[in-house]
Amino acid sequence: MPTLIWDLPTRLFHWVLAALVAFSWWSAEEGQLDWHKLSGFAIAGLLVFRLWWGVAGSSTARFGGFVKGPAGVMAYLKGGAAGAPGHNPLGGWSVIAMLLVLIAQVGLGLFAINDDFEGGPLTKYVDYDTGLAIAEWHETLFNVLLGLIVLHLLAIGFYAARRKNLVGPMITGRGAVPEGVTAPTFAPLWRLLVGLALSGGTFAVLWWLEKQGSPAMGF
Amino acid sequence: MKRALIAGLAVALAAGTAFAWDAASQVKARQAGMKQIGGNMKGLYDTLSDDKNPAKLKEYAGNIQRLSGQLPSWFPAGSGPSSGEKTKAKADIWTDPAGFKAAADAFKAEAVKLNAAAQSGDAAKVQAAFAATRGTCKGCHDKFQTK
Repeated sequence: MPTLIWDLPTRLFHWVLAALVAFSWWSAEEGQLDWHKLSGFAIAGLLVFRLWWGVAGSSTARFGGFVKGPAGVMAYLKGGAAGAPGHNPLGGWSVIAMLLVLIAQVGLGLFAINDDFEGGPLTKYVDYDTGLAIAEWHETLFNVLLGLIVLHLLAIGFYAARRKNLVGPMITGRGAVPEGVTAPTFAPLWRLLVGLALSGGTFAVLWWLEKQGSPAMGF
Repeated sequence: MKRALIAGLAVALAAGTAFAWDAASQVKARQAGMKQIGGNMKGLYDTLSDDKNPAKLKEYAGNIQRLSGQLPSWFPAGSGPSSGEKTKAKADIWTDPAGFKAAADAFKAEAVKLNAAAQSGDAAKVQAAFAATRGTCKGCHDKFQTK
């Protein structure tokens, strides 16, 4: 009997993030920096939401629920007992790694500048050389992010080969929960609204900062 | 002794930049020059976004005009990708000298206008000229610089 594992906000976060990362990649390659920045601001909003949801959201989204110490990870790798539904101890760390890299990536993007003077909304706080260097780190870190995404996809394939479908539950929210395991609990609506406000507020602040720039750039 | 060593080092450094005869120092000098232009362009942009201080606008625009005159000399033959140095300068700069000259001239022409606008003290004019100048940077980079 399939049970709800991932709530709608978590699923939406996941798919919108995946789409925006792809879009950010494309817009950067195409030199569409205006769109790239908008996408980055939106990702920043999503990340703030996810951090909030990680402490105040549904049980399967909470960091406290899926971040385990080395002992927990080892036990899982040795094929220990089925844990709580949601991220397994290894996947939990991949979520943390992904979030940290994304946070750093968005942070760097805010200060990055290229040699056509296209830059993030906070470039005025760094000199030109530093901004250029930050843009290079931004590019390098994206390769790290791509590496994490490849690992993520490989893991999905690995589990698929073992007849465990990870993609389906991320779409429908539902999946099999072993018997005797506590079913997930879901966060009330007001927490979702707080998360949406934090997320929208983040986007709005970045947009406002962007608009503080001289109109000479033609945005 | 120590002082002599430092003086010697300073002379060597100065000589290294003054007589940039090998490709490595030519590329380095070019990148330093480009960073100077970029730094002044950024200064101009930040000032336009901020208090539009006319003295600063004049200073940056003056620097940009001066550097725009030097730019063609930063591309001596043999300082391109064939030199084996790590450079974003495309070989087209030297295989299409007319095209490159046109791009460099376009930059210089806009830089002159930019400086004139800054000297006039009219920030709105500087803004328009800045956008046009930046367009010539990008126009040349799109054609003659690898990503």
